Amino acid sequence: MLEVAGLSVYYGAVRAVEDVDLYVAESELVALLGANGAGKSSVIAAILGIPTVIRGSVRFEGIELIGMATDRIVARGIAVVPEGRGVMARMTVLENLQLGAYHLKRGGAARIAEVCERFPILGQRLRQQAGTLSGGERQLLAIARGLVGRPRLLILDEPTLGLSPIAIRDLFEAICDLHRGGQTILLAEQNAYQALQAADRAYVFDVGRVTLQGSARELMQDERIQHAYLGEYLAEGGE
Amino acid sequence: MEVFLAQLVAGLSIGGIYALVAAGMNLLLLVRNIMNYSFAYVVLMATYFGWMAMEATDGDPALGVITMFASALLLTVVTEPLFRVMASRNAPLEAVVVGVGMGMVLTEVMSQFIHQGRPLVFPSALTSWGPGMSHGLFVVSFPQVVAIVVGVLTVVGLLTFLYRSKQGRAFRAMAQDLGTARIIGIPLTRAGVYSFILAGLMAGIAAILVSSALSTSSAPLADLLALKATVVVLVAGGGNLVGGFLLALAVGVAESLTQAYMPGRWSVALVFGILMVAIIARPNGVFGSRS
Repeated sequence: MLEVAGLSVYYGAVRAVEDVDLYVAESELVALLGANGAGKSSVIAAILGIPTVIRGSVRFEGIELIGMATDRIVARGIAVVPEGRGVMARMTVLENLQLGAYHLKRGGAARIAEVCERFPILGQRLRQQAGTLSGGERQLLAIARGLVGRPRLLILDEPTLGLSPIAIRDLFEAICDLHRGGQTILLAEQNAYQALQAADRAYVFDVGRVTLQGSARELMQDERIQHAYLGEYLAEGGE
Repeated sequence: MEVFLAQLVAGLSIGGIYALVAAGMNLLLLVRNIMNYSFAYVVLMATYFGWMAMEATDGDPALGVITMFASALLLTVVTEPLFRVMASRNAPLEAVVVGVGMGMVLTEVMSQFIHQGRPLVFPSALTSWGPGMSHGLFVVSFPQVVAIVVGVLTVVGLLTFLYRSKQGRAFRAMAQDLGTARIIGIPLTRAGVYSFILAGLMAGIAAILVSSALSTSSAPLADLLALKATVVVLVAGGGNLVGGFLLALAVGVAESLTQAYMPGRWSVALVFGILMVAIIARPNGVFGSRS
Protein backbone atom coordinates (compact mmCIF):
# COMPACT_ATOMS: atom_id res chain seq x y z
CA MET A 1 0.00 0.00 0.00
CA LEU A 2 2.71 2.50 1.04
CA GLU A 3 6.27 2.19 -0.26
CA VAL A 4 9.00 4.59 0.81
CA ALA A 5 12.32 4.23 -1.00
CA GLY A 6 15.59 6.11 -0.54
CA LEU A 7 13.83 8.90 1.36
CA SER A 8 15.92 11.82 2.58
CA VAL A 9 14.40 14.92 4.17
CA TYR A 10 16.16 18.25 4.62
CA TYR A 11 15.23 21.30 6.67
CA GLY A 12 17.53 23.94 5.23
CA ALA A 13 21.03 22.51 5.51
CA VAL A 14 20.00 20.00 8.18
CA ARG A 15 19.35 16.44 7.02
CA ALA A 16 16.58 15.03 9.25
CA VAL A 17 16.13 11.70 7.45
CA GLU A 18 18.67 9.83 5.35
CA ASP A 19 18.01 7.13 2.80
CA VAL A 20 15.04 5.47 4.49
CA ASP A 21 13.26 2.49 2.94
CA LEU A 22 10.04 1.13 4.41
CA TYR A 23 6.70 -0.28 3.38
CA VAL A 24 3.28 -0.81 4.85
CA ALA A 25 1.05 -3.58 3.45
CA GLU A 26 -2.74 -3.49 3.52
CA SER A 27 -4.30 -4.16 6.97
CA GLU A 28 -0.89 -4.03 8.66
CA LEU A 29 -0.01 -2.06 11.75
CA VAL A 30 3.56 -0.89 11.31
CA ALA A 31 5.38 0.98 14.09
CA LEU A 32 8.14 3.54 13.68
CA LEU A 33 10.17 3.50 16.88
CA GLY A 34 12.89 5.80 18.08
CA ALA A 35 13.77 8.56 20.47
CA ASN A 36 12.59 12.13 20.09
CA GLY A 37 14.29 13.66 17.03
CA ALA A 38 15.16 10.27 15.49
CA GLY A 39 13.34 11.17 12.26
CA LYS A 40 9.94 9.45 12.65
CA SER A 41 7.88 12.64 12.39
CA SER A 42 10.00 13.84 9.45
CA VAL A 43 9.14 10.66 7.55
CA ILE A 44 5.44 11.31 8.23
CA ALA A 45 5.80 14.94 7.17
CA ALA A 46 7.47 13.76 3.95
CA ILE A 47 4.62 11.34 3.23
CA LEU A 48 2.29 14.37 3.45
CA GLY A 49 4.59 16.48 1.27
CA ILE A 50 5.21 19.09 3.96
CA PRO A 51 9.03 19.58 3.99
CA THR A 52 10.31 21.68 1.11
CA VAL A 53 13.24 19.40 0.27
CA ILE A 54 12.48 15.71 -0.09
CA ARG A 55 14.54 13.20 -2.07
CA GLY A 56 13.58 9.65 -2.92
CA SER A 57 10.18 8.13 -3.53
CA VAL A 58 6.94 7.81 -1.58
CA ARG A 59 4.34 5.72 -3.41
CA PHE A 60 0.82 5.12 -2.15
CA GLU A 61 -1.19 2.46 -3.98
CA GLY A 62 1.26 2.83 -6.85
CA ILE A 63 0.95 6.63 -7.15
CA GLU A 64 4.01 8.81 -6.49
CA LEU A 65 3.24 11.33 -3.74
CA ILE A 66 6.42 13.43 -3.88
CA GLY A 67 5.51 16.77 -5.40
CA MET A 68 1.81 16.33 -4.73
CA ALA A 69 -0.02 18.94 -2.59
CA THR A 70 -0.95 17.83 0.94
CA ASP A 71 -4.70 18.19 0.39
CA ARG A 72 -4.53 15.90 -2.66
CA ILE A 73 -2.52 13.34 -0.68
CA VAL A 74 -5.17 13.38 2.07
CA ALA A 75 -7.93 13.12 -0.53
CA ARG A 76 -6.21 9.99 -1.88
CA GLY A 77 -6.89 8.23 1.42
CA ILE A 78 -4.14 9.06 3.92
CA ALA A 79 -5.18 10.55 7.25
CA VAL A 80 -2.58 11.79 9.71
CA VAL A 81 -3.22 12.38 13.39
CA PRO A 82 -0.46 14.85 14.22
CA GLU A 83 1.77 14.93 17.24
CA GLY A 84 0.20 16.97 20.03
CA ARG A 85 -3.37 15.89 19.05
CA GLY A 86 -4.05 18.78 16.68
CA VAL A 87 -7.70 19.19 17.50
CA MET A 88 -9.29 22.57 16.96
CA ALA A 89 -9.71 23.60 20.60
CA ARG A 90 -12.18 26.44 19.94
CA MET A 91 -14.44 24.32 17.77
CA THR A 92 -16.94 21.75 19.02
CA VAL A 93 -16.37 17.99 18.86
CA LEU A 94 -18.91 17.82 16.02
CA GLU A 95 -17.18 20.59 14.06
CA ASN A 96 -13.85 18.80 14.45
CA LEU A 97 -15.41 15.62 13.09
CA GLN A 98 -17.00 17.59 10.23
CA LEU A 99 -13.53 18.87 9.30
CA GLY A 100 -12.52 15.22 8.88
CA ALA A 101 -15.26 14.88 6.26
CA TYR A 102 -13.90 17.82 4.22
CA HIS A 103 -13.01 15.62 1.24
CA LEU A 104 -16.14 13.47 1.28
CA LYS A 105 -18.51 14.45 -1.52
CA ARG A 106 -21.47 12.96 0.38
CA GLY A 107 -22.29 10.83 3.40
CA GLY A 108 -20.32 12.93 5.91
CA ALA A 109 -23.10 12.92 8.53
CA ALA A 110 -23.56 9.14 8.27
CA ARG A 111 -19.82 8.61 8.55
CA ILE A 112 -19.67 10.82 11.66
CA ALA A 113 -22.51 8.77 13.18
CA GLU A 114 -20.54 5.56 12.47
CA VAL A 115 -17.40 6.96 14.08
CA CYS A 116 -19.39 8.12 17.11
CA GLU A 117 -20.69 4.56 17.51
CA ARG A 118 -17.09 3.39 17.67
CA PHE A 119 -16.17 6.16 20.14
CA PRO A 120 -19.35 6.69 22.21
CA ILE A 121 -17.62 9.18 24.52
CA LEU A 122 -17.37 11.56 21.55
CA GLY A 123 -20.98 10.95 20.53
CA GLN A 124 -22.05 12.10 23.98
CA ARG A 125 -20.05 15.33 23.70
CA LEU A 126 -20.71 16.53 20.18
CA ARG A 127 -21.66 20.07 21.29
CA GLN A 128 -18.74 20.41 23.71
CA GLN A 129 -15.74 22.59 22.87
CA ALA A 130 -12.82 20.29 21.98
CA GLY A 131 -10.50 22.34 24.19
CA THR A 132 -12.44 21.24 27.28
CA LEU A 133 -11.87 17.50 26.66
CA SER A 134 -9.24 15.54 28.60
CA GLY A 135 -5.96 14.69 26.86
CA GLY A 136 -7.07 11.13 26.13
CA GLU A 137 -10.43 12.26 24.79
CA ARG A 138 -8.74 14.83 22.56
CA GLN A 139 -6.50 12.10 21.17
CA LEU A 140 -9.55 9.93 20.47
CA LEU A 141 -11.19 12.91 18.77
CA ALA A 142 -8.13 13.43 16.57
CA ILE A 143 -8.18 9.74 15.58
CA ALA A 144 -11.95 9.85 15.03
CA ARG A 145 -11.55 12.95 12.84
CA GLY A 146 -9.00 11.06 10.78
CA LEU A 147 -11.33 8.05 10.44
CA VAL A 148 -14.31 10.15 9.29
CA GLY A 149 -12.71 10.57 5.87
CA ARG A 150 -12.57 6.75 5.38
CA PRO A 151 -8.74 6.68 5.07
CA ARG A 152 -7.12 3.60 3.65
CA LEU A 153 -3.99 4.47 5.64
CA LEU A 154 -4.18 6.02 9.12
CA ILE A 155 -0.94 7.55 10.38
CA LEU A 156 -0.61 8.28 14.10
CA ASP A 157 2.28 10.49 15.17
CA GLU A 158 3.21 10.05 18.84
CA PRO A 159 -0.38 9.52 19.99
CA THR A 160 0.53 8.74 23.61
CA LEU A 161 2.63 11.85 24.16
CA GLY A 162 1.60 13.49 27.43
CA LEU A 163 -1.17 11.01 28.25
CA SER A 164 -1.74 9.30 31.60
CA PRO A 165 -1.05 5.53 31.84
CA ILE A 166 -4.79 4.80 31.88
CA ALA A 167 -5.39 6.98 28.83
CA ILE A 168 -2.46 5.26 27.05
CA ARG A 169 -3.97 1.84 27.82
CA ASP A 170 -7.39 2.93 26.50
CA LEU A 171 -5.81 4.49 23.43
CA PHE A 172 -3.89 1.34 22.54
CA GLU A 173 -7.07 -0.69 23.00
CA ALA A 174 -8.73 1.60 20.47
CA ILE A 175 -5.77 1.33 18.07
CA CYS A 176 -5.72 -2.49 18.33
CA ASP A 177 -9.48 -2.56 17.81
CA LEU A 178 -9.09 -0.52 14.61
CA HIS A 179 -6.30 -2.83 13.45
CA ARG A 180 -8.41 -5.93 14.10
CA GLY A 181 -11.13 -4.31 11.98
CA GLY A 182 -8.70 -4.24 9.02
CA GLN A 183 -7.56 -0.61 9.22
CA THR A 184 -4.02 -0.11 7.89
CA ILE A 185 -2.03 1.91 10.44
CA LEU A 186 1.42 3.50 10.53
CA LEU A 187 2.24 4.36 14.13
CA ALA A 188 5.17 6.58 15.15
CA GLU A 189 5.74 6.05 18.83
CA GLN A 190 8.38 6.46 21.53
CA ASN A 191 6.57 4.01 23.78
CA ALA A 192 8.26 0.99 22.21
CA TYR A 193 6.82 -1.65 24.50
CA GLN A 194 3.18 -0.73 23.84
CA ALA A 195 3.84 -0.14 20.13
CA LEU A 196 5.54 -3.54 19.66
CA GLN A 197 2.71 -5.22 21.53
CA ALA A 198 0.24 -3.78 19.02
CA ALA A 199 2.27 -3.83 15.79
CA ASP A 200 2.83 -6.49 13.14
CA ARG A 201 6.20 -5.03 12.12
CA ALA A 202 8.40 -2.15 13.17
CA TYR A 203 11.26 0.06 12.02
CA VAL A 204 13.67 1.47 14.57
CA PHE A 205 15.04 4.96 13.81
CA ASP A 206 18.21 6.53 15.11
CA VAL A 207 19.55 9.92 13.96
CA GLY A 208 17.47 9.92 10.79
CA ARG A 209 18.26 6.36 9.69
CA VAL A 210 16.55 2.98 10.02
CA THR A 211 18.87 0.94 12.20
CA LEU A 212 16.67 -2.10 12.80
CA GLN A 213 13.58 -3.59 11.25
CA GLY A 214 11.57 -6.76 11.49
CA SER A 215 8.45 -8.31 12.92
CA ALA A 216 7.32 -6.95 16.25
CA ARG A 217 7.83 -10.35 17.83
CA GLU A 218 11.46 -10.52 16.61
CA LEU A 219 12.21 -7.01 17.73
CA MET A 220 10.79 -7.67 21.20
CA GLN A 221 13.40 -10.40 21.57
CA ASP A 222 16.26 -8.30 20.16
CA GLU A 223 18.79 -7.49 22.84
CA ARG A 224 19.52 -4.06 21.44
CA ILE A 225 15.82 -3.15 21.61
CA GLN A 226 15.50 -4.60 25.07
CA HIS A 227 18.51 -2.61 26.21
CA ALA A 228 17.58 0.65 24.53
CA TYR A 229 13.79 0.76 24.86
CA LEU A 230 12.39 -2.05 26.99
CA GLY A 231 14.74 -2.03 29.94
CA GLU A 232 12.40 -0.43 32.39
CA TYR A 233 9.48 -2.65 31.35
CA LEU A 234 11.56 -5.81 31.72
CA ALA A 235 12.85 -4.59 35.06
CA GLU A 236 9.24 -4.11 36.12
CA GLY A 237 8.45 -7.67 35.12
CA GLY A 238 6.93 -6.86 31.73
CA GLU A 239 6.78 -9.47 29.02
CA MET B 1 -34.99 64.55 20.31
CA GLU B 2 -35.58 64.73 16.55
CA VAL B 3 -31.97 65.78 15.96
CA PHE B 4 -30.76 62.99 18.21
CA LEU B 5 -32.79 60.36 16.34
CA ALA B 6 -31.70 61.67 12.93
CA GLN B 7 -28.05 61.62 14.02
CA LEU B 8 -28.52 58.14 15.49
CA VAL B 9 -29.82 56.76 12.19
CA ALA B 10 -27.09 58.57 10.25
CA GLY B 11 -24.51 57.15 12.66
CA LEU B 12 -25.84 53.61 12.32
CA SER B 13 -25.80 53.88 8.52
CA ILE B 14 -22.15 55.04 8.41
CA GLY B 15 -21.44 52.45 11.13
CA GLY B 16 -22.94 49.80 8.85
CA ILE B 17 -20.40 50.78 6.17
CA TYR B 18 -17.54 50.70 8.70
CA ALA B 19 -18.81 47.30 9.83
CA LEU B 20 -18.71 45.89 6.31
CA VAL B 21 -15.19 47.15 5.67
CA ALA B 22 -14.05 45.92 9.10
CA ALA B 23 -15.70 42.52 8.48
CA GLY B 24 -13.85 42.12 5.17
CA MET B 25 -10.55 43.02 6.83
CA ASN B 26 -11.32 40.73 9.79
CA LEU B 27 -12.08 37.83 7.47
CA LEU B 28 -8.66 38.13 5.81
CA LEU B 29 -7.00 38.58 9.19
CA LEU B 30 -8.69 35.40 10.44
CA VAL B 31 -8.05 33.20 7.44
CA ARG B 32 -4.73 34.54 6.11
CA ASN B 33 -3.32 36.32 9.17
CA ILE B 34 -2.83 39.51 7.16
CA MET B 35 -4.12 43.02 7.72
CA ASN B 36 -5.20 44.17 4.26
CA TYR B 37 -4.92 47.93 4.76
CA SER B 38 -5.80 48.55 1.11
CA PHE B 39 -9.28 47.06 1.55
CA ALA B 40 -11.02 50.44 2.12
CA TYR B 41 -9.15 51.92 -0.87
CA VAL B 42 -10.48 49.09 -3.04
CA VAL B 43 -14.00 49.95 -1.83
CA LEU B 44 -13.57 53.62 -2.76
CA MET B 45 -11.84 52.79 -6.06
CA ALA B 46 -14.87 50.66 -6.93
CA THR B 47 -17.13 53.66 -6.29
CA TYR B 48 -14.99 55.59 -8.81
CA PHE B 49 -15.43 52.86 -11.44
CA GLY B 50 -19.18 52.85 -10.76
CA TRP B 51 -19.30 56.63 -11.09
CA MET B 52 -17.45 56.46 -14.42
CA ALA B 53 -19.89 53.84 -15.69
CA MET B 54 -22.81 56.03 -14.72
CA GLU B 55 -21.21 59.10 -16.26
CA ALA B 56 -20.82 57.20 -19.50
CA THR B 57 -24.45 56.09 -19.54
CA ASP B 58 -26.38 59.17 -18.39
CA GLY B 59 -26.55 57.97 -14.80
CA ASP B 60 -27.78 54.41 -15.21
CA PRO B 61 -27.82 53.27 -11.54
CA ALA B 62 -28.04 49.54 -12.38
CA LEU B 63 -24.87 49.70 -14.45
CA GLY B 64 -23.17 51.74 -11.72
CA VAL B 65 -24.06 49.17 -9.06
CA ILE B 66 -22.92 46.23 -11.22
CA THR B 67 -19.66 48.01 -12.07
CA MET B 68 -18.94 48.79 -8.42
CA PHE B 69 -19.63 45.21 -7.40
CA ALA B 70 -17.59 43.65 -10.20
CA SER B 71 -14.61 46.04 -9.88
CA ALA B 72 -14.42 45.61 -6.09
CA LEU B 73 -14.44 41.84 -6.49
CA LEU B 74 -11.84 41.95 -9.27
CA LEU B 75 -9.52 44.41 -7.47
CA THR B 76 -9.63 42.34 -4.28
CA VAL B 77 -8.99 39.03 -6.01
CA VAL B 78 -6.15 40.24 -8.28
CA THR B 79 -4.23 41.47 -5.23
CA GLU B 80 -4.50 38.05 -3.55
CA PRO B 81 -1.16 36.69 -4.86
CA LEU B 82 0.72 39.62 -3.28
CA PHE B 83 -0.80 38.93 0.11
CA ARG B 84 -0.41 35.16 -0.37
CA VAL B 85 3.35 35.67 -0.49
CA MET B 86 3.21 37.60 2.78
CA ALA B 87 0.93 34.98 4.37
CA SER B 88 3.23 32.13 3.31
CA ARG B 89 6.17 33.98 4.86
CA ASN B 90 4.11 34.54 8.02
CA ALA B 91 4.87 38.25 7.63
CA PRO B 92 1.78 40.16 8.82
CA LEU B 93 3.65 43.45 9.31
CA GLU B 94 5.10 43.32 5.79
CA ALA B 95 1.53 42.70 4.56
CA VAL B 96 0.52 46.01 6.15
CA VAL B 97 3.27 47.71 4.14
CA VAL B 98 1.96 46.07 0.95
CA GLY B 99 -1.56 47.23 1.83
CA VAL B 100 -0.41 50.81 2.52
CA GLY B 101 1.53 50.85 -0.76
CA MET B 102 -1.45 49.61 -2.72
CA GLY B 103 -3.65 52.15 -0.96
CA MET B 104 -1.28 54.95 -2.01
CA VAL B 105 -1.30 53.76 -5.62
CA LEU B 106 -5.11 53.68 -5.66
CA THR B 107 -5.23 57.13 -3.98
CA GLU B 108 -3.04 58.53 -6.74
CA VAL B 109 -5.26 56.98 -9.41
CA MET B 110 -8.34 58.51 -7.77
CA SER B 111 -6.64 61.89 -7.26
CA GLN B 112 -4.81 62.26 -10.56
CA PHE B 113 -6.77 60.49 -13.24
CA ILE B 114 -10.47 60.67 -12.42
CA HIS B 115 -12.65 63.78 -12.34
CA GLN B 116 -9.52 65.96 -11.99
CA GLY B 117 -9.16 64.84 -8.38
CA ARG B 118 -12.42 66.49 -7.31
CA PRO B 119 -14.80 64.59 -5.00
CA LEU B 120 -17.43 62.60 -6.86
CA VAL B 121 -21.13 63.26 -6.42
CA PHE B 122 -23.37 60.38 -7.35
CA PRO B 123 -26.54 60.92 -9.35
CA SER B 124 -29.82 61.14 -7.46
CA ALA B 125 -31.02 57.93 -9.11
CA LEU B 126 -28.54 56.16 -6.81
CA THR B 127 -28.79 58.35 -3.72
CA SER B 128 -32.42 59.44 -3.44
CA TRP B 129 -34.39 56.36 -4.31
CA GLY B 130 -37.08 54.74 -2.21
CA PRO B 131 -39.34 56.32 0.42
CA GLY B 132 -37.67 58.69 2.88
CA MET B 133 -38.97 59.66 6.30
CA SER B 134 -39.17 63.15 7.70
CA HIS B 135 -40.77 64.58 10.79
CA GLY B 136 -39.65 68.09 11.69
CA LEU B 137 -35.85 67.94 11.99
CA PHE B 138 -35.86 64.14 11.80
CA VAL B 139 -34.97 63.27 8.21
CA VAL B 140 -33.89 59.82 7.14
CA SER B 141 -33.24 58.74 3.56
CA PHE B 142 -34.06 55.26 2.35
CA PRO B 143 -30.42 54.51 1.34
CA GLN B 144 -29.41 55.24 4.95
CA VAL B 145 -31.87 52.62 6.21
CA VAL B 146 -30.69 50.21 3.51
CA ALA B 147 -27.07 50.75 4.63
CA ILE B 148 -27.98 49.74 8.20
CA VAL B 149 -30.02 46.70 7.16
CA VAL B 150 -27.53 45.49 4.54
CA GLY B 151 -24.61 46.01 6.93
CA VAL B 152 -26.33 43.91 9.59
CA LEU B 153 -27.47 41.22 7.14
CA THR B 154 -24.04 40.92 5.52
CA VAL B 155 -22.24 40.43 8.82
CA VAL B 156 -24.92 37.97 10.03
CA GLY B 157 -24.62 36.16 6.69
CA LEU B 158 -20.84 35.99 7.05
CA LEU B 159 -21.13 34.56 10.56
CA THR B 160 -23.71 32.02 9.38
CA PHE B 161 -21.37 31.02 6.55
CA LEU B 162 -18.44 30.62 8.93
CA TYR B 163 -20.37 28.52 11.44
CA ARG B 164 -22.73 26.53 9.20
CA SER B 165 -20.86 25.72 5.99
CA LYS B 166 -18.03 23.33 5.18
CA GLN B 167 -15.85 26.09 3.74
CA GLY B 168 -16.64 28.35 6.71
CA ARG B 169 -15.44 25.67 9.12
CA ALA B 170 -12.32 25.28 7.01
CA PHE B 171 -11.70 29.05 7.31
CA ARG B 172 -12.09 28.84 11.09
CA ALA B 173 -9.75 25.85 11.24
CA MET B 174 -7.15 27.82 9.25
CA ALA B 175 -7.56 30.71 11.69
CA GLN B 176 -6.97 28.43 14.68
CA ASP B 177 -4.14 26.20 13.51
CA LEU B 178 -2.82 26.50 9.97
CA GLY B 179 -0.47 23.51 10.30
CA THR B 180 -3.21 21.14 11.46
CA ALA B 181 -5.62 22.56 8.85
CA ARG B 182 -3.09 21.55 6.21
CA ILE B 183 -2.68 18.07 7.68
CA ILE B 184 -6.46 17.59 7.78
CA GLY B 185 -6.38 18.18 4.03
CA ILE B 186 -7.79 21.68 3.68
CA PRO B 187 -6.38 23.16 0.45
CA LEU B 188 -4.81 26.26 1.95
CA THR B 189 -4.06 28.13 -1.27
CA ARG B 190 -7.51 27.55 -2.74
CA ALA B 191 -9.21 28.41 0.57
CA GLY B 192 -7.12 31.59 0.71
CA VAL B 193 -8.38 32.61 -2.73
CA TYR B 194 -11.95 31.86 -1.60
CA SER B 195 -11.46 34.17 1.39
CA PHE B 196 -10.40 36.99 -0.95
CA ILE B 197 -13.42 36.33 -3.19
CA LEU B 198 -15.70 36.56 -0.16
CA ALA B 199 -13.95 39.74 1.00
CA GLY B 200 -14.30 41.12 -2.54
CA LEU B 201 -18.05 40.51 -2.46
CA MET B 202 -18.20 42.45 0.81
CA ALA B 203 -16.11 45.26 -0.70
CA GLY B 204 -18.59 45.43 -3.56
CA ILE B 205 -21.54 45.75 -1.20
CA ALA B 206 -19.65 48.37 0.83
CA ALA B 207 -18.93 50.38 -2.35
CA ILE B 208 -22.61 50.43 -3.26
CA LEU B 209 -23.55 51.55 0.26
CA VAL B 210 -20.90 54.29 0.30
CA SER B 211 -22.13 55.74 -2.99
CA SER B 212 -25.83 55.53 -2.15
CA ALA B 213 -25.86 56.42 1.57
CA LEU B 214 -23.09 59.04 1.54
CA SER B 215 -23.80 60.31 -2.03
CA THR B 216 -20.13 61.15 -2.46
CA SER B 217 -16.71 59.58 -2.77
CA SER B 218 -13.16 60.91 -2.71
CA ALA B 219 -9.57 59.84 -2.11
CA PRO B 220 -9.42 61.47 1.36
CA LEU B 221 -12.55 59.51 2.27
CA ALA B 222 -10.60 56.33 1.48
CA ASP B 223 -7.85 57.44 3.89
CA LEU B 224 -10.37 58.03 6.66
CA LEU B 225 -12.27 54.80 6.00
CA ALA B 226 -9.06 52.74 5.97
CA LEU B 227 -7.87 54.33 9.21
CA LYS B 228 -11.18 53.92 11.01
CA ALA B 229 -11.79 50.34 9.85
CA THR B 230 -8.24 49.35 10.86
CA VAL B 231 -8.66 50.90 14.29
CA VAL B 232 -12.06 49.21 14.71
CA VAL B 233 -10.55 45.82 13.80
CA LEU B 234 -7.64 46.23 16.21
CA VAL B 235 -9.56 47.76 19.12
CA ALA B 236 -12.40 45.21 18.87
CA GLY B 237 -9.82 42.39 18.89
CA GLY B 238 -8.18 41.30 15.63
CA GLY B 239 -10.30 38.69 13.88
CA ASN B 240 -13.30 39.16 16.18
CA LEU B 241 -16.16 39.53 13.69
CA VAL B 242 -18.94 40.18 16.18
CA GLY B 243 -16.81 42.59 18.18
CA GLY B 244 -15.74 44.42 15.03
CA PHE B 245 -19.35 44.72 13.91
CA LEU B 246 -20.55 46.13 17.25
CA LEU B 247 -17.64 48.53 17.60
CA ALA B 248 -18.07 49.76 14.01
CA LEU B 249 -21.69 50.63 14.70
CA ALA B 250 -20.69 52.30 17.99
CA VAL B 251 -18.00 54.39 16.24
CA GLY B 252 -20.47 55.46 13.55
CA VAL B 253 -23.03 56.53 16.15
CA ALA B 254 -20.44 58.24 18.36
CA GLU B 255 -19.09 60.22 15.41
CA SER B 256 -22.53 61.24 14.29
CA LEU B 257 -23.67 62.34 17.75
CA THR B 258 -20.47 64.27 18.53
CA GLN B 259 -20.75 66.02 15.15
CA ALA B 260 -24.20 67.20 16.18
CA TYR B 261 -23.33 68.26 19.69
CA MET B 262 -19.65 69.27 19.51
CA PRO B 263 -17.88 71.96 17.48
CA GLY B 264 -15.83 71.39 14.34
CA ARG B 265 -13.85 68.21 13.81
CA TRP B 266 -13.49 67.35 17.47
CA SER B 267 -15.78 64.40 16.86
CA VAL B 268 -13.06 62.34 15.16
CA ALA B 269 -10.48 63.25 17.82
CA LEU B 270 -12.88 62.38 20.62
CA VAL B 271 -13.90 59.02 19.16
CA PHE B 272 -10.29 58.02 18.40
CA GLY B 273 -9.28 59.20 21.88
CA ILE B 274 -11.85 56.87 23.42
CA LEU B 275 -10.62 54.00 21.22
CA MET B 276 -7.03 54.77 22.23
CA VAL B 277 -7.95 54.51 25.92
CA ALA B 278 -9.88 51.31 25.18
CA ILE B 279 -6.93 49.56 23.53
CA ILE B 280 -4.60 50.65 26.35
CA ALA B 281 -7.04 49.28 28.93
CA ARG B 282 -7.67 46.04 26.99
CA PRO B 283 -4.58 45.20 24.89
CA ASN B 284 -6.18 42.03 23.46
CA GLY B 285 -9.11 44.05 22.17
CA VAL B 286 -12.32 45.21 23.77
CA PHE B 287 -14.06 41.96 22.77
CA GLY B 288 -10.97 39.71 22.78
CA SER B 289 -9.15 38.62 19.65
CA ARG B 290 -10.05 35.84 17.20
CA SER B 291 -13.38 34.64 18.53
